[in-house]
Amino acid sequence: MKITSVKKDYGLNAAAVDEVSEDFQAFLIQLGAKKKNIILSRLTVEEVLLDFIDRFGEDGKFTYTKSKFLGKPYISLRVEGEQFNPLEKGNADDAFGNWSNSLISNCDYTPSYSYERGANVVTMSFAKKTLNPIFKLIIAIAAAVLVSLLKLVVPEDVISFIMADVLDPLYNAFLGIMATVELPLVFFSVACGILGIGNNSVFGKIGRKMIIRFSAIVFAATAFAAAVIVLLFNIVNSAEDAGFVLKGGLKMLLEIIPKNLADPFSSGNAMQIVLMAIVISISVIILGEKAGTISNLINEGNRLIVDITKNICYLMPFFVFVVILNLIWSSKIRLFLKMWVPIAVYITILILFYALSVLRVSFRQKVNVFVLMKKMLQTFLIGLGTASSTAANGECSESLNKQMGVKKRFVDFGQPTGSVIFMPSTAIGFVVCAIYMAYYYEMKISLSWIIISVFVCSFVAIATPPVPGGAIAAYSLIFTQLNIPAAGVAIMISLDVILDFISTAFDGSFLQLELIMQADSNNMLNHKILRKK
Amino acid sequence: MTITKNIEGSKSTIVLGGRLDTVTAPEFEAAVMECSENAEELVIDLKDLDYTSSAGLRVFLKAQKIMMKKGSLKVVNVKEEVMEIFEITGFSEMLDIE
Repeated sequence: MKITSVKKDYGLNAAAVDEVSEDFQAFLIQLGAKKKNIILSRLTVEEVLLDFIDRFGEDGKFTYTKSKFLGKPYISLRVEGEQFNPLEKGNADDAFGNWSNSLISNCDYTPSYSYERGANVVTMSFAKKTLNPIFKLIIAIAAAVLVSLLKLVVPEDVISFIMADVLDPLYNAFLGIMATVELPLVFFSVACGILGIGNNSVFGKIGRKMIIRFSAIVFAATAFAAAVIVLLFNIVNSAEDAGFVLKGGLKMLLEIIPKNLADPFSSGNAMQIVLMAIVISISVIILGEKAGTISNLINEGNRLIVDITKNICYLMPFFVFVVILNLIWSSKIRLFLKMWVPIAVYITILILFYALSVLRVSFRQKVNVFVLMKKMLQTFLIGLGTASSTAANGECSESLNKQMGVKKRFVDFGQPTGSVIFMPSTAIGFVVCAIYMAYYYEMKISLSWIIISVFVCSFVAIATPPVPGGAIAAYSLIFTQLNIPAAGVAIMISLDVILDFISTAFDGSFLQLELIMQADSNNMLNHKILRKK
Repeated sequence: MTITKNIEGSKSTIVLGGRLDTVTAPEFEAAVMECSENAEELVIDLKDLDYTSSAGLRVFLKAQKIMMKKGSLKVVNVKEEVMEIFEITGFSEMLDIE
């Protein structure tokens, strides 16, 4: 597609806003954007320019650029002057925060802000359509299985050489790269989340309650899964009396406190990182504008680390290829084949938790169980078929609003927030796999170890953003924290390809059920629509 | 953009036509301020309005805030194109649309 680059200076005035808005719309049509995205993006650009006018007055100037960078189309708006981020809205219009925040959260194209050499720059880039990442992973697995057949024709010493001098170093290098970003990823994600909760203009009162409820349910789901495993399987092999469990819990609490600021990062202690992020972000909130620079630093750091992780994860299919090939050639594939056990346990627990959640909503909202399940089915199937929460988001929002009677304002706020932090299925998957791997490696499993695993898995599920590679970072953190052998991470990375389909499907349904309950408690639920067959 | 104002006692009506963009939004805002001054009921008729920009949405929000204190605001005869913008932005739930 041929894109004519444009770089033009305008005065900050109404006529210029309309001219740029018209040109931008034509650009989006040329890119083949969906109608909804065209409306949302155009309004976002108008809002950004109006905010610049409000801040700098009509005497100011801006530069509108439309071009391509590394084949990726983008536009940017540049205004010279003191630092001002129009994407961070100040005064809340209502309990949900500023209405224009929903433009950004609902649009597939997210604008970003930076302050460069005395100028405020807002950029919006438009990714090219690429193959679904999950298909790339499936191709990588298939390729690994095919290449593994070389063992039948290639001499054993050549295979050993490839394993020791090629595959192992590559595996270690990738894990090393991931280890570099995983701790900052968790730190910035937690700190940014708390800063957002503390900032009334971003979340508002209802938003804060929502996040607390989401977090509590993730903990409840993880604890439920651990309880089912303990009750059904005889896995606790290290007996403790009540006093010892209490002592273990106290020890865990005390170990969360880091020795110094650098220690959690050098020792890879995720719980200490989470605590540090909580303490620092709360301190920043209390200090208010005095700590504005630190607040900006945390937000910018978060954007940076998420971008770095995404870029690293372009290598993910190659990494999965290396892991699977190594597993097959080293005969560890037997462990991989045994993983049907945790998958079966995982699915069973998910179905149990799903049934309880559906019954809870059905009983509290007086809606027929089958009617409710039918309304959620489409979102579930999209998640199950694509393993992509992004693909399921549209249907999830639409059915919540039109079939389940949750008001659009509530859906527009709750759905994107929930899709980032509310992943009970993922948390259940973490705890099931962690316990199974500990059992497989014949670790000492005590009741206090189980309790610690519940905390660690819940925290990591909430704190790890849903970015590509987030799962590797999560498993790596959980296994380090729970002293599970690192070799297990390779198995989990391969297995996660399958688990992702299941957890995406169930997480979408859990989010719908929880938003129905929260909408009801905020008088944002139309019961007639919800109960309608 | 065309704006027709009609003030009858405590009820005022504003009829909009054409495109409500950034340039024309201040005219609409002035009409809202004038018509809402002594009104208990403000009706905004959008039967001929084809498009509203972000600046236009800001005026609708301002009108809603003013009339919440004084009485009521009704938005009527919304065309499909404008309704789509209201729905996508959540204004369909903030405003009383008939």
